[in-house]
Amino acid sequence: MTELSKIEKYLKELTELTEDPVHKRLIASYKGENPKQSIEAELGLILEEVIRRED
Amino acid sequence: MKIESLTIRGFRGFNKEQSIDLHHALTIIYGPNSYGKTSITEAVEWLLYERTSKVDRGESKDEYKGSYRNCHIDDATSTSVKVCFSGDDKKTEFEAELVGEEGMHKSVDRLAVEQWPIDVDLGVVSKPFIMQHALKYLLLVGPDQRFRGFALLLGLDELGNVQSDFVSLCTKPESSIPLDVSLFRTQIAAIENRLAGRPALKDVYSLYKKGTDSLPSLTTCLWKECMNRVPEGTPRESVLASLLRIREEAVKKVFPGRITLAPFTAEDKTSDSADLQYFVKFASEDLIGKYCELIALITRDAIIKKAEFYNIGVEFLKQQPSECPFCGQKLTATIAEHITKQHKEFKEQYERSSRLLSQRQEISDALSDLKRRLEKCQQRHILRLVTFLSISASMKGLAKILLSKHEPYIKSVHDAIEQLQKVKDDLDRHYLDVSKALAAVQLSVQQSKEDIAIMKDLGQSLVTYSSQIASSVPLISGLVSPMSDANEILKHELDLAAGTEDISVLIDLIEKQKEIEKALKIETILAGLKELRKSVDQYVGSKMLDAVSNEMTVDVMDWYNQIRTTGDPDVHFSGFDMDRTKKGDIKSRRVQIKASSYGKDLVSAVSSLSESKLNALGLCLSIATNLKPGCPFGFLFIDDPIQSWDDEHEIQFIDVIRKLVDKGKQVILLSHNKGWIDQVRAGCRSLNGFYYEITSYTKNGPNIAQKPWCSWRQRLDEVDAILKDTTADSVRVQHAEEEIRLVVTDLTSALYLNKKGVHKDSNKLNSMSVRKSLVECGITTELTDHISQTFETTDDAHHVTDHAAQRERIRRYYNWAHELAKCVQ
Repeated sequence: MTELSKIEKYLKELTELTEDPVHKRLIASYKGENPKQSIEAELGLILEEVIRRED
Repeated sequence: MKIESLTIRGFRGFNKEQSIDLHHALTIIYGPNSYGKTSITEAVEWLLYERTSKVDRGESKDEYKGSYRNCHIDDATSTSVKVCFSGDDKKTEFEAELVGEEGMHKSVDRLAVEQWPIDVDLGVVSKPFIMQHALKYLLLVGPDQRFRGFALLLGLDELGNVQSDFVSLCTKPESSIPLDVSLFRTQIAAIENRLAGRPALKDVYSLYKKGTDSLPSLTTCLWKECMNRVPEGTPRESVLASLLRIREEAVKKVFPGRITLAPFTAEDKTSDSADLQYFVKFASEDLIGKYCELIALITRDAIIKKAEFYNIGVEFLKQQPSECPFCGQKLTATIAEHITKQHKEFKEQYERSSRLLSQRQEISDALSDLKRRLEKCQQRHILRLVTFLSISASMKGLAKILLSKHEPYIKSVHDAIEQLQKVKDDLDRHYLDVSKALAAVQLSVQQSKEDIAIMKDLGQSLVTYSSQIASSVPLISGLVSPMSDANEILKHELDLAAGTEDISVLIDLIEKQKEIEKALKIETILAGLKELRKSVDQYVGSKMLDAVSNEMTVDVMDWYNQIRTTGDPDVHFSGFDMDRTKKGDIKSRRVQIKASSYGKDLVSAVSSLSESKLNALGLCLSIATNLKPGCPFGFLFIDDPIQSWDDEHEIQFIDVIRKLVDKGKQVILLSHNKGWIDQVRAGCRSLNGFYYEITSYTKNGPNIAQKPWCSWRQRLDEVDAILKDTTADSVRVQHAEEEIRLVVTDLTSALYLNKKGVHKDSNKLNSMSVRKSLVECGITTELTDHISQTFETTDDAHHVTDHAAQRERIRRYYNWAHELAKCVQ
């Protein structure tokens, strides 16, 4: 099993433990060269979406 | 993968090249401290990992720079380590050569390679080296650091990283919040603070604090409070307007002024950008050129009159070409031709005049357009300033309202008035200049008195005015926020003085209802990160718990029980666990070591276990992780394992070594403790390993001498004991036969040295070379034949049926070996 698939397995299991769509989205964004930066950026994006929302 | 041999040159304590053959089961190396033992372990570690644990753990990496190369080695000689590995019925030589201070050139069987051809990722399997004190440090560090160490040992370090990253996000989300979201939260937090300070609105506040879940209730409660403060019967759509009116009327009585400095809207910015571009472009070469052309324009009237006069005449001439249409005189051909030519010239001038007239009109229109844009631009900027500066007349009143506690706000308003008054004055002055210049140009066009100098004046004043506008924008923008803060304070103080604070808060809540909903949503998301953290903690904690409390504890306990002695006080390691909260939740990053004293759990295991037991436990931890499946290495270096141990534990550890060998590990044991090494050799004598002694150390490196595993007498005594032991099974009897062969090679080597003065390595002697050596040493043919026979039988111990015959044969070998021994003596 490669390192990446090991992490994917962890993240899949972790996603199954949460019901919150925001949490699911943050977990799904944990990827790439710098996964820490990716989740931080995703949180920023989620918050911006809230204030930009028109309804 | 086992090691056949290793060759070290110029590495750490080794200078001259030296080779060491390793036994497939057990190699023991004895050497006093500082004799280069650890350099042997480090050489193999460096070859495999390109760095050593010692350098890796060093706090200051700089201090270890260049430490791989022996300091006595001559410049022309390279630093290298060669290891001959065996496995899968083949041998492979790995060679690492030091490049620079830390680089490495790798080759396998003399062919350069980028990576060692090892299937597994060496970063995720345990290193086959158990150094002094082994993993004892992992037991002594805090639970969090222990977690990281265990995660690495158990191959769960990626999981540890996932958790660290999420914990960082969930506990410190502020750094991930974009600036606009931050500002938004600050604005809404200000409203919340004001609401919190209004006892009459405590129901609204309490629902507000409950977040998004209570939004419908909050809205109902909010409208109820609003309705209570407006005249009865006010329709819902007029409630806000009514509240605003009530507040305005009350506040006006206290203080009529406002601190209003409007920010530049996106529309303002677009207009400014378009205007400034237009103003600067207006005074372009093209327009000045066109303006100059007007200077040459002949007045319209003269041209038209003359042209019209000629037009009439030319019409008459067409009817009577020989007479003057006005006086009837005869026209000569020359005069008629002159009239036609004049008419043509006037016609051309008329046409040119018309073009210039239309050009003049264009310029005139452009000047009018410029004037309009200038007026609008000036109005836009001045209006903002005038609105703000209107507060300057009420500064005394403002100071009274804001009182001394808001001194900094009063000062900031004062400063802003000074700065913006100057901006306004400058803008007015430059606007006046540009207006005058524009009027002059317009007049010149109207009067057909075009003058290049006044056009240049206009261009210059437009540029100056534009730069004044451009420089005023950032200055004003910079003051918007502090003036808004000051106005908020003023508003707050006015509400306090006028008794309209509740109404004011309600107005804000109604006006910002949508923003508040968004803010509550944001707070819900941020608060929810605690839940996410908990989920991650519990998940990672349960994974770690599985790993440490099941397999890990069993493995370590197994080895620990090998070492523990019967006479020990019953205070022992009892397993690994995860720390927990009072509620029983796992504290994910805290690995706990459990211990018990006579069956009772101890509070602090680490402080209760003796130094000796901690060392033993650290060692067991290392061994257990090294035996985990997936490790490609069949060898294990154990370097000075028994420091701080008592005698009994030292003896117990010999069993551990035997067990490791039984499990198929090739053990390379190094120690400075000669007494213990002798005990290990005695305890593991039947394993017939290799034994080396480092007898001295010079700048050339250690002097490593191979010594017999044990004396031929000891071996013959053991053979005799086995043969006399009627209960010895066929496996033991076969072992006796193997011992005789070792005796024979040892004796042949000793005999050859006595007779020929040449050392022959007994480990490399076989049936043929023994026979040849004995003949050369003059041993009788009969004894030589007998000795050769000792190599011939290779019974399979498990299939021996005639045990008596087997024993009889070995007894004969035993006697022949004694005969050979007499020759040596």
